[in-house]
Amino acid sequence: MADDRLESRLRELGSHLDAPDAAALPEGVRRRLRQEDRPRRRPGLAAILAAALAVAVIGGVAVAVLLIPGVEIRRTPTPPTAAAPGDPEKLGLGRPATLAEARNSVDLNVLVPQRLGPPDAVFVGRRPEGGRVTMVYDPKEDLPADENTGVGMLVTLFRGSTDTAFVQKEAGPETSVRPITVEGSPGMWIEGAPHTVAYVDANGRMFPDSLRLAGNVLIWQVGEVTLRLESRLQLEPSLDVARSMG
Amino acid sequence: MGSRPLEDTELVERARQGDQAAYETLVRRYQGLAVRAAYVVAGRAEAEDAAQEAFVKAYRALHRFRPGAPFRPWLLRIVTNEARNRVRSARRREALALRAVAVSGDAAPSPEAAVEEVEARRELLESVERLPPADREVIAYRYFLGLSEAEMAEALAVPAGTVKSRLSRAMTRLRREMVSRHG
Repeated sequence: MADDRLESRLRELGSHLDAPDAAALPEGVRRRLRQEDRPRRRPGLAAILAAALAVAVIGGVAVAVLLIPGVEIRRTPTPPTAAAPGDPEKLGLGRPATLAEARNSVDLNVLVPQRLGPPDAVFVGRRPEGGRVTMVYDPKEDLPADENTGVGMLVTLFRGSTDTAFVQKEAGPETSVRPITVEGSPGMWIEGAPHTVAYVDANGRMFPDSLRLAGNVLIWQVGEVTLRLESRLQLEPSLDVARSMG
Repeated sequence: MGSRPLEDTELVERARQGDQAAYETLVRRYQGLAVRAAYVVAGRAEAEDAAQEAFVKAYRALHRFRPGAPFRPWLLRIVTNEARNRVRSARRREALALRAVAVSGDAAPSPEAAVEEVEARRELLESVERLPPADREVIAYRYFLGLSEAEMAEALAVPAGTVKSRLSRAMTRLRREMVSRHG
């Protein structure tokens, strides 16, 4: 084929390229930039100490504390039980979306762990206020399948509130809960026996379909956003993933 | 041609001073181009998100932008990097799946000719898609996005003198690819 003929065919093809619609993009960018301008609040030493003290107190039975905004841990004398669905669609994560759609539909700075790259699936939940985004990573070589969820890792972000719990966890005696810091922000590391996790509404009622068992969990904060990683990874590799979300 | 670069320059300067509305004007002006560039590099599933992320990163990097330089190729370089970072795994490359809209031009003389036109377009696109990423990018940026060679050099981060030889090599491979398809 002559050069100019092929060139004109390529140009013609370019004008028929079925690229995605970019209409929602400016709003998405605006939302991201607005969040960037919001100054990030760094927790002081007092907040970190308070978190450590709170954990020390819950050695007893059925004591509930808000360590991280929006997260409540209940100690129970016996290991909890719950259904263990293996399909991400059934984990109570919300509706499926693309990352761009998720960013446009929540009032959060949706940070992606650079260490893992783009997620394999994304879900958006309406609650709590400001929305909730969960990114799902399929199991792979260095990310073993979680026996409770069947996925490699769940990354959840939401805007935590200090006066109402949104995530409720029940941890039995076999589960260890300890305070940690992630890039200077207070956090918690929960490992050992699986613990239950459920989302609760503003009146403290649990969503029954969201009650399930969770694997090792790292919870921490970036600004006003509470982040949660759930997988079979140990603390150090989990921290690597967490730090890559800066 | 004279007014647009000047206007971009002014908008960039305002954005550098923290004027987000000025930056939004640039976003709206180049959103389509950015998404198309991300689409040909990273495929449909990543295109919109890569473009959005690139606009955010470009805003953060405005302090490094050389005043008076053209904004469009500078932005496309950031879009290209963002899109390339998303095609690291073989699985994602497989999912590239570029598509052409299945409508024929008004000029098609008959329904049969219209079908052939759509089919020929699909075959050409498949041949482009089968090329190595560097060849595909250079062809797509030149003919699908209509960039000049100078803009391509900046967007693809290669020396200006290299663009011409790389494009010529890519076109040779494309012709070979098309011949092999037709036996």
